[in-house]
Amino acid sequence: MPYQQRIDRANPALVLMVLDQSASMRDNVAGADTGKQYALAEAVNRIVYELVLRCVKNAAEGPRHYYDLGLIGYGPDNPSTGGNAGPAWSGALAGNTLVSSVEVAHNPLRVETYTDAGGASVRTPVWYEPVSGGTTPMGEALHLAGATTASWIERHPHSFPPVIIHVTDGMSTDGDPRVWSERLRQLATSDGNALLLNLSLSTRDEAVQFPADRKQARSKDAKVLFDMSSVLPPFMRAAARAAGLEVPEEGRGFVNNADISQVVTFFQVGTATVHQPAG
Amino acid sequence: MDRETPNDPNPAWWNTPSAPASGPWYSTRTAEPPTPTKTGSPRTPARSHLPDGPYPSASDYVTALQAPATALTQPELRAASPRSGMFGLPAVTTGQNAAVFTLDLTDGSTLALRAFTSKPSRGPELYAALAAMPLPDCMAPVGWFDDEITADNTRWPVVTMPWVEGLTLERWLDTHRNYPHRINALRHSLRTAVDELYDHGIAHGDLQHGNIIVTDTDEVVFVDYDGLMLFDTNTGQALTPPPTEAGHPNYQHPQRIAQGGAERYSDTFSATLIDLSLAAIAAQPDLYRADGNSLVLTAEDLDDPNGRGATSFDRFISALSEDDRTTGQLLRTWCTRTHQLPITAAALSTSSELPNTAARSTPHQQRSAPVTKLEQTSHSPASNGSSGRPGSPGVSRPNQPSEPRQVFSALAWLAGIAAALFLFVGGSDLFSDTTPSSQQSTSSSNSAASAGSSGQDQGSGSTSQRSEPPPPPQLEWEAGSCVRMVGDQGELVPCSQSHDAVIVRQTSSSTNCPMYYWPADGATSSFWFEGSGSMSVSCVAPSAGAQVMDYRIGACLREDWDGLMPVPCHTRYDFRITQSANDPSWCPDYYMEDGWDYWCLSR
Repeated sequence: MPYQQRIDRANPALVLMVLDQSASMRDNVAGADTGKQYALAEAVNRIVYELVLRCVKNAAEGPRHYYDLGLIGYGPDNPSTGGNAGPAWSGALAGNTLVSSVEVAHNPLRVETYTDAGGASVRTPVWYEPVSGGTTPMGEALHLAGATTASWIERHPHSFPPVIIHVTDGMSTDGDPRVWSERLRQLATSDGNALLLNLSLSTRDEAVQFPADRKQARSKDAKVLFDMSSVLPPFMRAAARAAGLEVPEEGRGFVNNADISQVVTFFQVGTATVHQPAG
Repeated sequence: MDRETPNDPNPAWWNTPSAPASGPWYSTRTAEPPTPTKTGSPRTPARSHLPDGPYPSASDYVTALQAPATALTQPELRAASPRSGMFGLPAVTTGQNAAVFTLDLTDGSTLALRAFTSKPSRGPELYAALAAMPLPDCMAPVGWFDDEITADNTRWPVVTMPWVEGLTLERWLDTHRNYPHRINALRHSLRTAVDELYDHGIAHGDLQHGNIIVTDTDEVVFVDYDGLMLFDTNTGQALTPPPTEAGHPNYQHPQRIAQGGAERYSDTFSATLIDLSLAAIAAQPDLYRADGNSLVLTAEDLDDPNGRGATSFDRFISALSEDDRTTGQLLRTWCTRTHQLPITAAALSTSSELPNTAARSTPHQQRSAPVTKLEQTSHSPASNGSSGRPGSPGVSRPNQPSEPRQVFSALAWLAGIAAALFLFVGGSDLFSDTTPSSQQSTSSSNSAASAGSSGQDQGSGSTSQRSEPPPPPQLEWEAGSCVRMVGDQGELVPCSQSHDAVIVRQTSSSTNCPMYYWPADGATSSFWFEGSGSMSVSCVAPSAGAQVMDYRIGACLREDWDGLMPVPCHTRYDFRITQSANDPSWCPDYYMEDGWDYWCLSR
């Protein structure tokens, strides 16, 4: 059975986030007056923190290297690659595509203080800042994600399979991304194929979460993202169920026109594992 | 025990009121927090269900506990200060289904607060029962509180217990691995503690390096009770539903990982493994992996102890003292067999008396128990000549107990084995057919008495000269003899031949047998009998060379009142497996489920 490998320091897991940073990310997310880029940054920071916390097993020591965390952004000119897709970590981590959970824990940009809905002052670590500009070179980004994932697999042939979480709000401007997504999904460790999940922040289409039926993706853009997405393995369906969503058996890792809470759920499902990292 | 006295008279905030003395205490209603606070706050009275979720994540709880005065409910907790960790935010450690925080209270005491990140299915009942019962010294008293913490604008339950000062076993080993006398003291504490658990009707279910706290005085306290099971100490009946998690795979029998559940003796395997790992580390500190995942052996080693794990197992066992080495070999063999001790499996199968117990605690046994008891599995191909006496009723059950009270104590396992060694002084080739490499450093076992009990001088590869050849095989029903299963009966064979089991010792009571046993003369008996003072029981250990039957296409199954079990195809059988199936409706005639897959069957 695939996806059984436990995550431990000998077998860390890869979570690679591929983030649309194109100019249209300045628009508001569905059902809120929050810019998509801000909603995305908040969700990314939250899930990075969550993954770091999963690596803390002992009060007397820091986080362990259970995860390699990747951030790829696409849209604006990327100084590291010279193209329009490249590493999206910033601060001390700038220029890296993959960073171990230990390095991530030691290098937040800052710990931000904000006021929550109830008026209380809350602090939270920040790694990723909102970015927007340029077109939507999805193919270039997925190509980079594929190269990154393949070389990671060479180094970790028996790890829990990589999970690639792609967030976009529009249509690829550099060709059919399905060419790249198909290659990406074929990468595999001995424990199973890499999983590609796609989240669309587009507000044009009907909202749909983890559909099994392609017809539920109405627009052409949505159908492309549906086609790109892996069928959710049972443990991810279980995670969706724990978050209150019933996902059909052949449900794809695809969410369209997500509102802010659905973005969070999407990331939670995408970062689910069969086993929590070793205790 | 000189530690932060978790069992002392307790502050009011966690001391939940006792359950009513009458009635089954496991169905005690959720304990009410003792101090009604917050006038007008909508505290529901003890309720019978938990919020379904989605449950908050660890970071949600970190957010909440930045302001304990608003997040928590009871005054003592609202005034508490969470210890801070990364980023100056409340320090948290994460487990399978909970985030654990450390709170310093205003009275100077410290508390562990456990908040759930997924629904704790057995939560209220289990923790209310624990709060109401006397706990052994090796456990910290717990309290369960509904609606205690507000996160994501919703109230969630928490479990609290006094913070146990000490180091987790792995942290302790980081600094103590080179002190064999301390490790040996810890082994003693651990054995005592495991036995205390058993005597209180408790199976922890997840004994591992992260759940064992070692105090300054080398005492142990077990924490994390989410996988715990409670049993009636008189009847052995399970009082809680089985946990959803089967514990850390590096510490559990491979079959338990595959099948889940917990039983009265579920800690025996992990306790033995930990005990022997400590012994091995005391002798060879570099065997300690120090990787935060396991002590010496990993799940891969346990899963295939004579294949992929052979090298690790050989090193492990050769580091052990003479006494412990026998136990180590038994453990190795046990890995390849059912995790269930047959005596209890059999006890459960007398389900006319205990239908609910059997159904609740061993769900997989209801239809097709994947139980591969010795007597089912041990038919080696060489023994087929006279096997399968016609008319014998199904699979042999010579050791059927007449009542289910005979369950195996962890202490019996740990101590009994050591005692057993002295009984089969002649059986020096006990396992020699299976682990040649570990034998290279094995001294002849007739020096067992002088081997002593400390492991620290062992395992350095020192070999005492074998002054005379091993004694010739003695075909007697005695310790060290080898047995082949022929039909329903055990037959003594020279140990040089193919055999299925080795007699570990003779004893008067089956409860002293670590794994398997049958009446001393090997005869079939449909009822278990206990001798009165005489040595009437043979404890046996399956030989690693015996054939293990498995579910696979082409396998033959015999129907028995335990369900279906694999048997050699040359014996009488009722079904043959024709194919595996993801869906039972694919099967043309009959089907069964082994916990993983469906198998199609034909008569």
